[in-house]
Order: sequence, then structure tokens, then C-alpha cells
Amino acid sequence: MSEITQSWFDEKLARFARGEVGLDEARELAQASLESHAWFEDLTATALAKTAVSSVPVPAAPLRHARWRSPFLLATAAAIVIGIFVVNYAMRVSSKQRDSARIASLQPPSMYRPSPTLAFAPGSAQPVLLAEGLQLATPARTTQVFRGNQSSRSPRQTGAIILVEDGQATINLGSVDGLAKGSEVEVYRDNTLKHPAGTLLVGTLFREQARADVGPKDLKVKYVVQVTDGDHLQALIQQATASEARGDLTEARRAAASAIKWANNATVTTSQKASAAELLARLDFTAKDLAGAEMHYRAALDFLSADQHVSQNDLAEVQNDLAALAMLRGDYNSADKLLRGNPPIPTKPNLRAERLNNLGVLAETRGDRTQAESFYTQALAILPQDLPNERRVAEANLARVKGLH
Amino acid sequence: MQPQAASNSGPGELEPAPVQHQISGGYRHLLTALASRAHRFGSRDPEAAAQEALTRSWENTKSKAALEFYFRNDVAPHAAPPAWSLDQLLAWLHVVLRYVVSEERGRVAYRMEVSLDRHSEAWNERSLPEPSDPGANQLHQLLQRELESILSECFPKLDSEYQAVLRLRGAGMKYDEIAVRLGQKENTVATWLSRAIRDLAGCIKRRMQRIGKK
Repeated sequence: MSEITQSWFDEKLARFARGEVGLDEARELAQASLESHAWFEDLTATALAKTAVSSVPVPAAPLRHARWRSPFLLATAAAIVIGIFVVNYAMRVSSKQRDSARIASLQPPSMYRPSPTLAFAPGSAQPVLLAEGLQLATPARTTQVFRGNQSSRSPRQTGAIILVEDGQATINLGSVDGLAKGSEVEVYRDNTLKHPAGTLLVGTLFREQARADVGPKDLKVKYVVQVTDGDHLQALIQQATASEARGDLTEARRAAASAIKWANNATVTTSQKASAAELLARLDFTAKDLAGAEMHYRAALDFLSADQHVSQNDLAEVQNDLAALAMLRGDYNSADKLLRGNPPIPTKPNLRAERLNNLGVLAETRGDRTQAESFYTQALAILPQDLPNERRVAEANLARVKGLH
Repeated sequence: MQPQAASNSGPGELEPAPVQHQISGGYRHLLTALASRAHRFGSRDPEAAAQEALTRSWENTKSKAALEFYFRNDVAPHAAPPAWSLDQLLAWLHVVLRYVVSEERGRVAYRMEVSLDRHSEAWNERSLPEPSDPGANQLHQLLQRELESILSECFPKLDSEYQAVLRLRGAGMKYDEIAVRLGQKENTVATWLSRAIRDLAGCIKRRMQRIGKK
């Protein structure tokens, strides 16, 4: 320890901050930090920073945060606002008989700036996006979810056999832990999980318990049972969904973020990881955190893209949701790449129609009304009749670009 | 004399001897460092606060194992790695110390519902859930709240690229994935990550100084 210098400590601390030190180095750093109160303070603060980032959902930055850096800028902005108000007032006076959509359609392209939205209102002056996942997030949920019982315990991956009787084993894991009828649980002789004793197939399922036929296996009470990683992830996802159903969005987002973090080191499929990321994206969107939603949809898309057996419908849905989010924040180039660049071909007509509708929105934002009209027409042609809300959106978009409002 | 394992006690049972009499070497230095922090938190008796924080950490199997591994001078060369990382241990010590100081100052800023009656025969470790069990332990909840508070105060103050790299890292991405996403080199990502944590740590230190002045 006599060779420890400030530069040695700084270098180690930087590596520690990046998570690059092993156990022995961490120990060396910990003991070295005791040489100086300032070093111990630096190390503790760094540890807190790392722990905070790794165990708490990182807050999303505001999408657009205006900072008035000088009185001059403020005055300029005020002048612009007043100017816009005056022009707007003059236009209102001169065209009282026209509705806002008609005004928009008659203005030169440089003045008419469509702003895509997800909120549909009859006669809307703005192009309306269709996004399967994002539409689910907007209405308030009224259905009661059984798993939403706040007093219930958290999902567990390991439990134990608590009774063996009449050829059946009862285990203290149940549906809350991700088990379903027919789920397999591994049985071990002790909690080291190194001595397998067989597998149980869940036959009767309760919330916190389950029963399975023992068969010829020699299973005893206190043997340890373990849920598969996939089932455990499902339980964590359900926990987040239950919190959302209770209206506790903060807890739901925290639980979903924890599920993703756990899944990263677990033996689960990329599609299962994608489901967790997609859930968090949807929760972010519900919390109006569009940046977070977009980031997690991208993560979901990455996971899905890495899955050779991915459903084209799942892929198309996430890609379309992501494109819609990009357009909501005005990033039309990213939306273009997502909608046009080698898109998956979904088998569901509603997903194909959503993509066409959003291509129409994209064309409209760029001032190409002819192309927008073509896309909206195609979307309407394939949208099933049993989706009246989606049809109303496409019809309104088509009517607006045709100037029929 | 080094802190001793409770050789006659079963798994999860209480360590019989108070830690105050078992401290030497690295622990004494650790106590000094903790006492310095306790002083900054406004403790009137920093040494006692440090002792109490260490005693409480000693009573938890995971923090005890981590304390022994990271701060004991004569740890065996191939000692089994503790369940907790150094990050977790230091974060834990931080929150326990803050709790002890707030207790000492007579403020009921924090409430800990679990019994810490170390002399009760009924007390055993199972009655105090492990801090790694989310939501089961009040100290862990305090830690969680502290971390949330830190992030909500300090994260918005970071540069946007540092925020981005932390968000992506928090989403479980590796350096190469973040590099592709941000259009940067992996080295740049590593540098940004390091600086992001450094800046976050700087904000945490300023926050602690402010708390001590209250």
C-alpha cells in the first residue's frame, strides 16, 4: 500500500466507475481508500452513483427543454409569439367560415406544418397516426386484474416441496411465480441446486401453491424446486402489469425495468426479453416519457431482430410503434427508415394498414399530399370492417388531404 | 483480534459478541473513515455512530461477508467472493450510517419497523429479511429511496451524452451496442460512461455536504 498515489487511485477509481475491476482489485481499492478520507468519500460517492444507475430506472430527460439563456433570446421569442398571435388573429378574421382543417389545406406548404398526433378527433387538422401498442396505452384500464392484489408477495424463482401425499407433491410456488398448468419445475435435493432429483409437471395450480404427480420419483418434503428462467421472467412481467392495473405506474415501470435487468443475465429467449422491453416502452409512453418509450421499443426491436423465429407481425408492430414515436417528436428521417427500410411483411391486415396510414402521415408532413392520399386510400382498403376506430382515423386522414373537411 | 464467526451458532443466528470489541486493522481504519462521514452528516458523537453503523452491518450475513472480504486485512488469498459487490456494500454502509446519525439526532426522518433487539432470544436473522430481498427490509427501502432521490436530483444535471449513455447502459446494453446506437466508438462510450459516473458522484458529494449543513 506504500506505493499508492493519487494518480494510482484516480485510475483505479475510473476503472471501478466503468465496472472494469475484478474482486481482488475492488478489495485493493477499498483498502486503499481508507488511507484518506477524501478517497473514501470519492469511492463511496462513486459506488452510490453506480448503484443508483443500476438499481433505479434512469429518469428520462424532457423531450424538448427550452432554456432561456439570455434576455435577448427571451425578448426575441416574445416578439415571435406576439407576431404569430397577430397573424393568426388576422387570418381568423379573414376566414371565419372555414374550419381549421380547410385553412391548413389552403395555406402554402411553408406555412402549413402538420404535426402528427395519436389523439383522434373528428375533423382534426392534424394527421393521425395508427400504432397498435401505443393505442393500448392511452385509454384508462378498467378491467380488474387478479394478480393486482397489492398484498400479494413478489414472484420467487425457488421454493420447496411442502407436502408429499397420495402420490402428489405440493410446492409453495404458484401462478404468482409464473407457473401455469403443465409448467415444468426442476427439483433439487438441497438449496445448492447441484443435486437434481427430477422434474415435476404442474397439474393443479393455485396462486401461491401448486400440485404435481410425483410418479416413481423419490421426492421428499423440503426438497428445493425451481421455476425456469422463462417462467420467472413471465412472473416479473405480470407483476409489472399488475402494478399498472392498480394505477401505480411508477412501481410498474420499476418492476418492468427490474425484469429487463434480470432477463439480461438469464436463460430466456430474445423474444421474451423483447416482451419485457416492449412492456416498459408502453409504460414509459403511458407516463408521457416518449424518449424512454422510444429507447425501450428500440431495445425490443433489437431483441426481436436477433430472433430467427421471430413473428413478422410482432416485428412489424414494434417497428410501427417506434416509427410513430419518432414522428411524434418530429424525427421524420428515423420514421422513414423504420417504415420503408426492409420492413417485415405482417400477415395481419390491420398491421399492414397501420403502416400504410403512417406512411401517409409521413408523406403529409413532407408536403406530398398526392402520395399521402394514395397511402391513406390503400390503408382504408385493407382495414377490416371490425376495426371502426382505425377506419375512422384513416377516413379522416384521407378526407383532410383531399380537402373535404 | 479479528471479528470471529459464531462457531457455535447455527445458520442465521445472531452473532453473540458485540463488534466493538472485535475490531482491528482494516476495521479500525474503516471506523475512522465512517466516523469522518458521520461527522459530516452532523453527528455529535461520530465514533459511536460509526461503531453502531458497523455493528448493524455486522449483523447482516451479506454485509458482514462483504465487510470481511473487502476491508479485512488478512483475508485468505482464495476467500470465497461475497454475495455483495463493493458498490452494494458501500451504498449499504452509507444508508445505515445516515440512519444511525438521524436516529442520534433525535429526528424521525427515517422509520425502521424491523426489530433490532439484539438481546431477544426470539430474534434471529430470518426475522430480519435480507436487504437484497426488495421491499422486505426497511433499510433496503431507505436505500432505494436514497438512490431514487440521488438520481432525480443529479441525473438531469449531467450532459446529454452522459445521460444517453447511462440510459442505454441502464437498459442492459453492452458497450458495442451503445456505440452503434449513438454512432460513437466503443472507447468514447467507455469514456462517457466513466465521466458520467464521475459527474454523478460529484453531485452526490455536494449533496452530502448540503445534508451535513442542515
